[in-house]
Amino acid sequence: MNGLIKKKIKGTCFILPAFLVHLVIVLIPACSMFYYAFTKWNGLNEPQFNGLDNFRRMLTDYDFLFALKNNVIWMSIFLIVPLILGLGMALIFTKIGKIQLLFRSLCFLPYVVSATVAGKIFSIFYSPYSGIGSFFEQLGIRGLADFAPLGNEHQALYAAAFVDNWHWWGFVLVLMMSALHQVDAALYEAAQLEGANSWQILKNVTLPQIKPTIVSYFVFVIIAAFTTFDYVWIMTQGGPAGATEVFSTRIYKTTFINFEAGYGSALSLSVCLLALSVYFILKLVQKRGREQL
Amino acid sequence: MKKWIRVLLTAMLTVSLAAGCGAQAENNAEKQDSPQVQTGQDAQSPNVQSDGEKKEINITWTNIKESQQQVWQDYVIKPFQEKHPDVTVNFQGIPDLQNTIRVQIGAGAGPDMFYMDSIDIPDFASTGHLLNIEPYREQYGMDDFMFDWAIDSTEYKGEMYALPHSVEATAMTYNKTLLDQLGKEVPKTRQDFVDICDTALSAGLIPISFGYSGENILLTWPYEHYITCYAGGEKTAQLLKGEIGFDDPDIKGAFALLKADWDAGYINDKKSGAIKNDEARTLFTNQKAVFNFEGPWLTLVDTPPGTWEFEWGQCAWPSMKDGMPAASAITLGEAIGINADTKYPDLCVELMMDFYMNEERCAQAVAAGFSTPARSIDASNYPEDMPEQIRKTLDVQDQNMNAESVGYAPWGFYPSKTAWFLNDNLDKVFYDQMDLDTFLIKAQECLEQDLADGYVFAG
Amino acid sequence: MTLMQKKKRSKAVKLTVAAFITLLQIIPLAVVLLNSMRSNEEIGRQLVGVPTSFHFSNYVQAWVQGGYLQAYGNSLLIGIGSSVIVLLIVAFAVYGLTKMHCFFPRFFHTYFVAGLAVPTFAIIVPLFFFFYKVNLVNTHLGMILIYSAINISFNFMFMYAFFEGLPKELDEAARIDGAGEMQNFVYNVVPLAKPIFTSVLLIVFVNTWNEFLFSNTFLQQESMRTVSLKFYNFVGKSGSDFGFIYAAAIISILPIVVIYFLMQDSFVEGMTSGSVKG
Repeated sequence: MNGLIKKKIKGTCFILPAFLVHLVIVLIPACSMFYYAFTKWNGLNEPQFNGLDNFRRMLTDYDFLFALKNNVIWMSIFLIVPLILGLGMALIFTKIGKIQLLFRSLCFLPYVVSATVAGKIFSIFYSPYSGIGSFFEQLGIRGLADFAPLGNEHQALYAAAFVDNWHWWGFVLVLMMSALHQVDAALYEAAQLEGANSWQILKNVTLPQIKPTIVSYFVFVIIAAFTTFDYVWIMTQGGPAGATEVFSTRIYKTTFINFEAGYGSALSLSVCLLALSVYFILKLVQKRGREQL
Repeated sequence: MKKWIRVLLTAMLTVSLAAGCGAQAENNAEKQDSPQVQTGQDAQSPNVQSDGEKKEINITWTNIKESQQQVWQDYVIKPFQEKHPDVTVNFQGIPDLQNTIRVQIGAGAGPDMFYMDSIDIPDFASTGHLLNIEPYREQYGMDDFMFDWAIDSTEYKGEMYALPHSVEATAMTYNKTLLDQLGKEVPKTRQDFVDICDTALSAGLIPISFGYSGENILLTWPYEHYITCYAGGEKTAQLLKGEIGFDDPDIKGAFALLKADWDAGYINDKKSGAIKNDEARTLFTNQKAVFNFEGPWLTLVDTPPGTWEFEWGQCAWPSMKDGMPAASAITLGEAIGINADTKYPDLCVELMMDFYMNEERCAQAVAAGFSTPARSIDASNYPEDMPEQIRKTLDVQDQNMNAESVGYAPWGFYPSKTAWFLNDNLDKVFYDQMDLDTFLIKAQECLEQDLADGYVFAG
Repeated sequence: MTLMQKKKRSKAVKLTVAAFITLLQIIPLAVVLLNSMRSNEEIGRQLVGVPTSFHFSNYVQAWVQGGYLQAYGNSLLIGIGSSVIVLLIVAFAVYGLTKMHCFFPRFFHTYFVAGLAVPTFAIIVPLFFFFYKVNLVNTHLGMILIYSAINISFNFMFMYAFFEGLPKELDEAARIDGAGEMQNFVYNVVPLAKPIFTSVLLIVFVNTWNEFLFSNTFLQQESMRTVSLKFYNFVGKSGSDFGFIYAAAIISILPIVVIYFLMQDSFVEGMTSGSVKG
């Protein structure tokens, strides 16, 4: 048995560097978030312990609670759209020869543009006076001239999501192309020999083979959707009239603009726990699914 | 060909990398050099002073334009560095200043001097992070020449904890050319104002240009004007002292009027949530709007003289209710906090006081586009070639500051929770997401919380 | 229609769709590039258009006022440092979890993935306090450590999925031959994992280059600040001078685009060796 323990020690050593870096830089500060959540603190003074007051307050903080709706909308958008675009285009690209490399490079390009740059640019595009709306007005197309999504409480969230999607699906494309590349060509040949058509190959060979990647993608989007911040903040700061408020914009405003760092920590903690619960439920479902097989 | 491109690019990257490493080395060297000993200087001595040790003072400000930073350099920093050759003053402007400063100061780090809003002074002072200015108050005779209400705004428990840097009196900026075209006079009463707005709308113009997308804090401009000119300064003071509440008919009426004007399309055709302030300013510059909520800072500092190709003017916001006068809100615009942990407190105070006490230098700085210091400046000090735009603004501002009836601007006088609530939720009222009564009830709750937390009205 | 014609038509349709979507994807960037060469007044009058005359003054203005050279250096240093570190530690961690025996493998896997649930700006304040005590504020090393840490979870997930899909036969064969783990890693795994490795390097580099919240708080000295901060600064000052903003945007993203295209070659190798069929 010594041999196995030695192997285990060796294996664990491989994991330790990443674990330690993450522990020190992310987890330990996150633990202080746990501590501050039970205090009243403005970032400057000594935190005063106030028990569960922050959490009681949270239960009637409708601005915060209703943000869940926007996070869920965001999650739904990003579970579907980038995956369809990314996977769909990856499959199409495989059939069009060498030019796929050029297209892939170009589609990926928006990923390297920072959120601040993309946000600023699209804000200009979305402006009613100097953006797409005014462009159509100059062309005389009246119907589209009223296009000012960032000021419209129903359109603003989708407008911000559009920018994040523009930034993000190129990465999903590359991810899917990597995954497809891994699939053993022999499997395709075997299927073709059996006379399967494209749809059948897709369904029975391709998708099952890239399942781990797709599952990781789903898990990532589900968890990350709870903490989405950059694009919403840069484009709308949660406005107009709170229409695009997500958890993180609420937390940011509470902590850094209203300087209620204690209450903000309580909110962060709650969001974190919510995301973790969802993750663990998913894992449970996955496990059950596997057990049934 | 491709290979050469790669080589060239790699070379360029290497050069940049070296520049980056250089920054780190520079940084380390500075850390080792900075002296640990604090030296006191006789603040009144005009002679060049140096005791050989290199000293550094770091000032962090909001993200102001290059031209404004240049004015700082020319009129505040350079004269000081000539007097003290051993001191280097580093001035930098960063975005999101208020958040970053609080984190840095809270950790015990932070620059020697930094921009502050007067409403933040109690928070920083009560936790011992700000240098107590009281010892210097008499030494420099601050009460003799600085506006007393400005000094009051920097006090915490009766003692000064920041330097009053600049003052402002809010105003309405208008496009005279457009008014003439519409056949109207500068509005003084509510009826005049409504008349002009309606006429502007039918002429296809925007009555008031205003954009607040991504910067809810700018909503303070509209509601300040309406409260000051509908409810009046006295009522505002009563509200902030807790003597009346947000449900007071005059206070409520001010907000109701603001909402009504929004619904009528007076405020940027209800598109304020879709555009940023810069765009609103562009609309005004391009003569698409008749009025603008912004006051003296727009023409003193933010708009280079000559940008506007039309006749313009500034005046106090018109009366919004019969019997109320047109009025401005005067307030301390910017304060300077000095880090309690600074190594050179005397030098920091001296840096700014040398400037404030020198009337001529203040005048020259203002003429070059600097915020109005918290002191009176005799008009004779202004240079002959001062831009007309600035002279005009200063005249109007002086008038407004010395008027009988003045209001109190939220960014200088309102408690932070209340102000934040108002800024965060006013547009919900605009967009019919929240009714006015609920809005006022919740605002009152915030105000009561602030009063319970120890907020004291500084007016 | 013959099979050949059917196939050709199908390919043509796919080509059109691919080209169209790619075009949509890059139109905003094309607009930025074109507009960066037009004057502010031109842009004010008409949002999109071909430049009537080329104004490089926008670039000069943006460059001079932005102080970009040193910022490039800072961003490069921090970016390269972070991406290399992340690649190494995450690759080892994933290799250890998927190919070796470890203590508590499920715990570690869950730990890394759960790391995604922590909102990054929630840790800025305590982290700043901590770094200030150990003098890591305002340093390149501090930023590299921070970025390495916050990029671990994301890259761990995707590398893990990839490694799970790697054939196990090669490892077994190597072990039977008596090869050590490191040798197996270097000779068997690395060649196969090249595309995901280059992806990780690129992703971390890009995220680091573009990151704003942490760098604004931790890098206080002007000489240490990064490109993304310069852009944000510049935009704050320039207001509605769209020409300057577009030029500054191009200046900010240009180095990354360059690096991205430089790394394309290794991307390509990984992609096309063993033709991708679907």
